[in-house]
Amino acid sequence: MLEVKNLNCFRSNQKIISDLSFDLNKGEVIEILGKNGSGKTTLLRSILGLTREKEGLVNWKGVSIKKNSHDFLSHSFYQGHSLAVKTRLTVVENIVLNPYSMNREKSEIKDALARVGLKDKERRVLSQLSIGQRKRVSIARWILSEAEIFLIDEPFSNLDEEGSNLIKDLIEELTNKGCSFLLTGHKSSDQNYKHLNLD
Amino acid sequence: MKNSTLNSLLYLVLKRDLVLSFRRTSTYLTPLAFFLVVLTFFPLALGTDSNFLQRIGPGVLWISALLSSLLAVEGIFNDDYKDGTLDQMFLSNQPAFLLIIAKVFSHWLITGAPILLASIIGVIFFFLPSSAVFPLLLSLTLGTLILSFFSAFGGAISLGKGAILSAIIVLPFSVPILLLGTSVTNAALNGDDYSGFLFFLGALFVLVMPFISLATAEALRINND
Repeated sequence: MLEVKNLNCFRSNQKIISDLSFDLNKGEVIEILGKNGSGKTTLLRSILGLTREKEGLVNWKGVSIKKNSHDFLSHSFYQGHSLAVKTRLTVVENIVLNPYSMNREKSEIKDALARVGLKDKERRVLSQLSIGQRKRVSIARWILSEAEIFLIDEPFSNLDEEGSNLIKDLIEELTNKGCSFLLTGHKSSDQNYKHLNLD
Repeated sequence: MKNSTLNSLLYLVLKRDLVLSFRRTSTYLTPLAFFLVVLTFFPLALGTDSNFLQRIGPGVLWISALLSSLLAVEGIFNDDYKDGTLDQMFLSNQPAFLLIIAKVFSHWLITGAPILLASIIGVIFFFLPSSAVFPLLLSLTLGTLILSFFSAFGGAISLGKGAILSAIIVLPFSVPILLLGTSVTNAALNGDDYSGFLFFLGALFVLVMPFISLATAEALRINND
């Protein structure tokens, strides 16, 4: 599905990822581990094309991502550190007014919010919610996005045990449907995921 | 982003920015209040001689509009940059410069349009004749729209930095707009034909909209890298 070959990533002309190769297959989860500054976020952003200083080959479904970026971006979901949530919008508005989860039926949105434990907080403004609850809004978008590949930066940070379990269950559910995940983190989530260490 | 067509994304950007701006009153009230306060200071400081105020009126209105629009420069992209929404714009599979046009238009509706309406008060303050109202409003509409595009460019170049830098970038670009805008109203006041100046402003708007949007998209890409 996603093939990375001899990838070098740079930040301010400094090489921070050197000669990295891996394959992400359908229904597979790879957890990229490393300490701060090891290049986990840069790797995700390089694959997506948000960071342009890179060398090497990234293929999506057998075709170079440079030629196939439209298809790749149509089927990918990216969640960075900052979650792309607006604290002055309500929970529902953050779903409806986001490109990943727009144009969805009300019932689907209700179900997704119930799935992430925000059933009673649909009309609450995000500034009134905790950081963990804001993260759940972002997780509801995973369900609604219909993506095939998810690139998620530190999905388990700022979450309690219940929240972490929710993510693990959701990842299992989505991988069973054929979705793939590229996750980053400082330490392993103790799941049966493939690991890639950048240290 | 499977569900995102260009039209739906443009609508989304416009609606989201308008909702967010209306929820933070300072976004539109600060430039508007600043504009009205500056306009009020001139008759207070320079006296109420109607001929003198009429002569300086167009220039004062334009300078006030220019300075007021600078107050909102920082907010165009900084929030989206900080909360990660800007990434989604570049991952949306749609031309970023078109989404920027939608953002600039919503910025204008929030900051430029209220100034435009408030300039009618300026017409009363500066004893401008009714014959000057239409050309003034038309030139201010075009001028504030162009200023919004320059503000977006300034905001993109100084992404994540202070508003002062944006203002310094935007000010030199706004000189031709200031000259053309005041010329329209002065020509109308003197009973001359002002259509030539208006055509120039219109042509400038047509040129600025695509080119500055493209430059803004590139500046954002570089600074968001």
